[in-house]
Amino acid sequence: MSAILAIDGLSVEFRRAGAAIGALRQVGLKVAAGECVGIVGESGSGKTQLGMAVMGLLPANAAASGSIRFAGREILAAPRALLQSLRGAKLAMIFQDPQSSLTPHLRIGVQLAEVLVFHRKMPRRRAQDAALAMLRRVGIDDAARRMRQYPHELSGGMRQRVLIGMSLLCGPDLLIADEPTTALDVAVQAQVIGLLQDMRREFHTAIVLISHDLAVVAGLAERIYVMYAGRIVETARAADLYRGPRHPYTAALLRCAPRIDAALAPRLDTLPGQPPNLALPIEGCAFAPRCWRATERCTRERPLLLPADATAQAACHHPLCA
Amino acid sequence: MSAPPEDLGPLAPGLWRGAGRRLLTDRAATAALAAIFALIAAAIIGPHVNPNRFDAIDWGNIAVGPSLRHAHWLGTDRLGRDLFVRTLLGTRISLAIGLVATSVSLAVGIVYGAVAGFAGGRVDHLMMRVIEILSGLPLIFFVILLTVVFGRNLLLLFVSIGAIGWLTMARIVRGQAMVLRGREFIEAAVAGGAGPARIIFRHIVPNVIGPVIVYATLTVPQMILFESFLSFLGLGVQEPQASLGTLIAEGAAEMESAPWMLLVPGVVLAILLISFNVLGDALRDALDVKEH
Repeated sequence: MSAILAIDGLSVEFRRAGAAIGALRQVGLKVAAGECVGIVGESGSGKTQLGMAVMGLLPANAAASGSIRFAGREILAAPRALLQSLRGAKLAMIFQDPQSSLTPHLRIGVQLAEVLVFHRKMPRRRAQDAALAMLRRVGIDDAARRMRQYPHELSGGMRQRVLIGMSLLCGPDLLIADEPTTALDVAVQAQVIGLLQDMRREFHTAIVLISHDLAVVAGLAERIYVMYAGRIVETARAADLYRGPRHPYTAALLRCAPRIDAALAPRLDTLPGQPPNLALPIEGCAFAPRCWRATERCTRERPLLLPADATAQAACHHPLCA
Repeated sequence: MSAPPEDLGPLAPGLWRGAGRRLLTDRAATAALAAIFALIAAAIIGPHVNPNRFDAIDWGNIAVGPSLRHAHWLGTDRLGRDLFVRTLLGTRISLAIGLVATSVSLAVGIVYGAVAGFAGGRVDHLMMRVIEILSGLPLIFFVILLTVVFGRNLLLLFVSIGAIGWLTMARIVRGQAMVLRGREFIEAAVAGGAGPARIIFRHIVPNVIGPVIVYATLTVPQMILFESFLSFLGLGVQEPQASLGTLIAEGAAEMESAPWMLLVPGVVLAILLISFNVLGDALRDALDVKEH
């Protein structure tokens, strides 16, 4: 399978008040066509910036280096016109908060149809029909009436459905979903994940699912990248990662996830300590100060992301279950 | 000048209906609205009701007081011209200047402000410095200069007043645009492949309409007042045309012997200004989400 997205040695630095904050450090990642890849990490681990970098939406004070190839084309330093023509058409993104991702003053139908009129130069009538069909497809009841409604008249779950439908209208090759379920309640979360699953099968869209929630990613992703302090610390097939995490950070994340069958346990495990300050140089393994397996070597020498088996890589001097 | 309205946020369409209802329950606002419509209607129809022409001189009735016994219901001026007709004609011109100048300032201010606010960074800096320089220019001097160079004509007056009125409007729109720029739906629009022009006109401008309408309502009386001021100084509308400002200037000269010459246009101007200000304030309250 050819890679639809190949990121290599991507670093992103933010300059703020004299300090340089390394949000992404030498990140490498591959997504095959039609594949679903999960990116997991705590807040501030750089996962959102990764999505933004791919979309070319990094803020003005960010400096990026490395390479992002989309469908074989370099897009990191690409001219704005090229990015603009890709965005929304070949490269789509959905955001965390469906409440505020729709323009409040336009009817749902108009917003959806506009995507097609704009990118596909489709006549408005036909675009409206296509939008209506898409709304039905993403499971919105009474779609004809919804087309005439404004965003604030829809529930959060429905709005996320609309946004997913909107992002798929032009049949993109890659969909970046940044915390698509975080703002939704649990029952709706499951529906949205199910919908993404269906859509992926139907449209053969590769999905990069960014989330802090391992459970959400587990439902969808085939492969998972775990990020910590701007680096990828482990990658493996989803099932393998759950069964046998190699990096202590992954293990800790798994342990922190609330489980219904552990409801009788006295309390939820938490990960002690704080992620490192990204404005300061990090020596050795960034996770070492919070790691129970850390040795003197970990504070001195940064572990490289090395293959652990045919499909997995981990950046740890003392991996688990090795 | 009243304080610029605070951030109202993008307005949901349902809110407009609510705002309209709230506005009509506000008794002062309803009265102001009625007064404005009545004056507009009078300015359009009024001169046709009275047989006198605005520039006809009635030699037999020079400087007579208001009375219903002769054809000059509100009296005549020093030259025997009918004050009723002249005042309504003046109202017409003053209103037209207020509305046209406000429209000019709306058009320029919205575009300029939205571009500056959305672009941000160096572009924004440069655009704001331009505004500061322009607002630092002495306005009267600027208008005198224009009239000297281009001669006195009504169109020039409209344009020059509007050209200055947009400064504050641009500042307000810029502030709103900066707030909106950080909102997710703008980011989503960018992620959807929309270019800057499309984002500004399709996603930002419609969402700043709330505060802009409020400010526009408050701009109309400012513009009227400014025109009156210019006319009072003799820089505005030319004889035999009249605006409320020239009428007041003429009236002020005869204030002691013929007070009605000042009172008639003065009262009309006062009603107009108060009505627009009351309406603007009421609109601001009606559109304020936080209070409801």
